[in-house]
Amino acid sequence: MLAATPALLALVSLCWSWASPDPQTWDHLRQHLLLGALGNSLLLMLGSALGAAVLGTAAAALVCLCEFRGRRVVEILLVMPLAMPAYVLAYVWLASVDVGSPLRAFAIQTTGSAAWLPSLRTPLGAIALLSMANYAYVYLLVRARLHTQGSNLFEAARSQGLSPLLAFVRGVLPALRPALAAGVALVMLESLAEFGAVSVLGIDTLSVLVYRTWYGLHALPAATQLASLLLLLALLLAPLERAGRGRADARENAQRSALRPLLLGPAASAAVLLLVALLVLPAFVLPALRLAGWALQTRAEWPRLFAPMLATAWVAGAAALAILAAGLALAAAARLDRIGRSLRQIAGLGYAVPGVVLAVALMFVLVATERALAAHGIVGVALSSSLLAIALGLLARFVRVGVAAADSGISALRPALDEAARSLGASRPRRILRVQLPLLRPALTGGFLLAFVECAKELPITLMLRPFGFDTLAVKVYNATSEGLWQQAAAPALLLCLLGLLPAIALLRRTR
Amino acid sequence: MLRLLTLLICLLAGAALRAAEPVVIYSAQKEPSLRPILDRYTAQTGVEVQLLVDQGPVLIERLAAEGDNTRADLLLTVDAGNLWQAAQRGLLAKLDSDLLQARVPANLRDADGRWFGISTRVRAIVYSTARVKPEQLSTYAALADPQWKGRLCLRTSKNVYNQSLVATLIARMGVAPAEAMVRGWIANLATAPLSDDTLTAQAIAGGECDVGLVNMYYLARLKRAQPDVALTMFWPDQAGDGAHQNICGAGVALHARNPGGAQALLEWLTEAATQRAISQLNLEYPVNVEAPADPLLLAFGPLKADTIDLSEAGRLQPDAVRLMDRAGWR
Repeated sequence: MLAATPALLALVSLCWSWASPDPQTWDHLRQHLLLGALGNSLLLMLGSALGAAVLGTAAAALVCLCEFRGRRVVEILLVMPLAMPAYVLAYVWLASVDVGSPLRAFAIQTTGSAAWLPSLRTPLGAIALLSMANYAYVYLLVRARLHTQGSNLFEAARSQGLSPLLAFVRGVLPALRPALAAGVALVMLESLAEFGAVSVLGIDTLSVLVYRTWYGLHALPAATQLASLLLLLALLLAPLERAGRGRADARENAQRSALRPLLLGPAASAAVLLLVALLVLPAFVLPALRLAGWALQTRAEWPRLFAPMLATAWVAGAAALAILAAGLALAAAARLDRIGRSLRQIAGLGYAVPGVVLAVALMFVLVATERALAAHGIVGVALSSSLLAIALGLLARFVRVGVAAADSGISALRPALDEAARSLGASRPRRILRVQLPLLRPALTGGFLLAFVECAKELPITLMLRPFGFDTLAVKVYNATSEGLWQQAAAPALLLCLLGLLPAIALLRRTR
Repeated sequence: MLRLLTLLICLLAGAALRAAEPVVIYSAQKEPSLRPILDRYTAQTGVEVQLLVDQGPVLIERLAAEGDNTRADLLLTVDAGNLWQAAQRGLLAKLDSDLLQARVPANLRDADGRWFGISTRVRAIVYSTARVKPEQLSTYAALADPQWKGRLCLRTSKNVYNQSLVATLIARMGVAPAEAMVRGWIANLATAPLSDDTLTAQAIAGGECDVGLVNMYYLARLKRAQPDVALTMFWPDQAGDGAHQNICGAGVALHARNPGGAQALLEWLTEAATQRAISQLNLEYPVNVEAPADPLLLAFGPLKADTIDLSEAGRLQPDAVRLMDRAGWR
C-alpha cells in the first residue's frame, strides 16, 4: 500500500483538478489544439511502437539465433542507445542536420537551397528518433525470452524444412508475443510521456499541450485535466500489458545450447554488420562522438561537472533502490488479492504521466505537509525540495520498472524450493531472506539497473523537487539547452550517457 | 536487504533537514547569469544568497502553495508576465522604496511597487547583412509583407518572449490587427518555428532565411564569440512606438522571512555600478539610466524602446497565446 502511495497521490490530485473546471480554456483548446495534439500523441505512440518492435525484435533475433563474426560486440552495441536520453538524441541530431546546422548551410551554398534535405522536425522524424531511442527496451525483453526458448523453437521449425525467415516468423515469433507486448507497451508509454525530445522537434503532442496550457495560458487546473487524458490513454494500454505478463514459463532452460542455430556465411555476416551499424551509428555512436567533440571545446568547465555527476549517481541509486523495494511489494501484493492487483495497476500508471505533472502534484502535497508541520511548531523541515521529494517523485513515475522486474522474478520462483525450506523448519522471514530473495536477485538486479538509467535521465521531477543548488547532470543539460547553449550542454550530456552505459551493459551481461 | 533499506532511509531522511539560510531567491534566471553578480554582493556585504532555479510558472505555484511558510525572499523572473501573475495572485509585497522608484523607470516596474525591473531585453529584428539592407526594414508589422515570403524565421510561440511581444503588440494595435500581422508572419515563414533564438540566428547566418526576431543579447553573445558573423540588429518601430522590451525583474515575497535583506539586495541590484556589471555579464540593457550599457550593445545603434507599461504584457499574455494558437503559430 505504502509503495503505491506516491503514484496514488499524484493520481488523486489529477482527478481533483477536475473539481475546478475551466470551460474558457477548454473551449480554446478544443477549437484549436486538442485534436491535433491528440492525433500527434497517438501517431507518435503507434509509430514508435512499430519502429521499436521491428528494430528490437530483428536485433534480438540476430544476436540470439545467428552466429557471425563480431556477434558479441554487436550484442553490447545494440543495447547502448538505452543510455542516451531521447532529448539528447534529438538535440544532437537537430544541431547536426536540421535548420541552423553547418550541413544545411553548406547545402545552401552549393545548391542554392536546403529544401531537398529531409527535416527531422516532422512526425516521421520524431517517430524515427523515438524508435531509435527506445527500441532497446524491446530488444532486452525479446532477447531474454529468446535466450531461454529461442534456439529450440527455431531448430524445431527448421527441422520441418522451413527457410530461416519463415522458421522465425512461424516458429519463434508466436512465442515471443508476451515479451513483445510488454516491450511495446513500455515504448508506447515512453512516447506518451515524452516531452523534451518532441518539444525540441516542434511536434505538438498532449504532453507539450500540458505545458502550453500551464505556462502560456496560466491555467494549471486545465493543464492537469489534460494530463489526466494522458492517463486515460495509458489505461487503454492495459490489455497489452496484461498480454505481456502472459504465461509464466520463464523457467531457465537447463540445457541452454551454447551454439546459435544459424551460422551465417561471410556475405550474410557482412550484411548483418552493416544493418547493425545503420542502427547503432545514428542511435548512439555518432551522437556520442558529436557530443564528445563539443565537450572538448568546453574543457575548462569539466571539473565543475564532478559534483553533478555524484548527485546524479546518488539520486538515481537511492531512487532505484526505492523503486525496487516498492516494485517487490506491489508484485507480491498483486499475487495475493484483487486490491493488490489494482494497486499494481494504479502504480504503473505513473509511467504515462509527464514528469512535470507528477512533480507539481507531489510538490503540492509536500508543501501542504510542510505547512501542517510548521503550524505545529516543527519548522525547518524542507520536504518539498529535498532528495526525499525527488525519490518519491521518481518512485511514482518509475515504479512500473520495479514491478515488472519483480514480476518476472517471482514468476520464475519455484514453489518446490520454498516448500522444501518450510519443511526443514525455516520461518517465514528466514525463507524470504535466505531462499526467495537470493533467487530473485538476478531479476531484481536487472530491475535496479534499468531503474537507475531511467532515473538518471529524468528531468522535470528532478528539476522541480531538488534541494537548493543541487544540480544533477540532466539539470545541467537543461540549463544549457534552454539558453540555446547547445555546446555547453554536451559535456554533461555525454557524462549522462556514460553513466547510463554502465548499467546498460551490466544489464546485458547479466541476462546472458 | 534490510541493511540497504536502512541505508536508504537514513540517506533520504538526512537530506530532508535543512540548514539556516540568509537571502533566498526563487529565480527563473539561470545560475551562471546570476552567480557572479551575487558573489559581488556577498563580497561587499557578507550576506549569503541562495538560489532556487526553476521555470517561472513553477516558482509561482510553489510560492502560492507554500503560503506563509515560504522560504523565498525574492522572486526573480526573466519576463514581466510572470511577475504580473505573481502580483495578481497576491504573492508579492508592496515596497515603498524611494531608491527603487528613482532608479527604475515607471514603465519597468509595478505601479504598486510589487515588482521592479533589473535589466531589459529588447526583442528586435536580426537580419543578414549580405542579403538584406536596413532600408528594407521598418516595423514588426512590416515583416508580414509579401516581400518577406519564405525569408522569415521565428522562434516557437511556446516561448515567453514571443508571447510578451505579441501581448504588447495587442496592447498597441488591438487584437484584430495584431492577429492579421501574426498570420502574415506565419505565411512568410521559411521553415517551421525553431526551438530557440540561437538557432534562429544560425539559420539566418546559414542562409535558410533572411530576417528573424530574437532577443538582442543572443546576437550580442554570438557577436562576442564570432565577431565576423554576417548578422546585425535592427530596431523596429523607431518612427512609431519603439522596439519591444521585456524585463528581468524581481519582487519581494509577501511572506518573506528576510524582507529587509531582500529589499536591500534589490536596491543594490539597481545601483549604477551593479547595473553596469550586469550589462557586461549578460549583455542586457540596464534599467538605471545612469549606468552605461555594454559597448557591444551600443554598437547596434541608438535604441528607442517602447515605453508601454509592462504590466500589459502580463495582463494580455493569455490573449496573446490564444491569438498565436488561432493564427497557427506553433
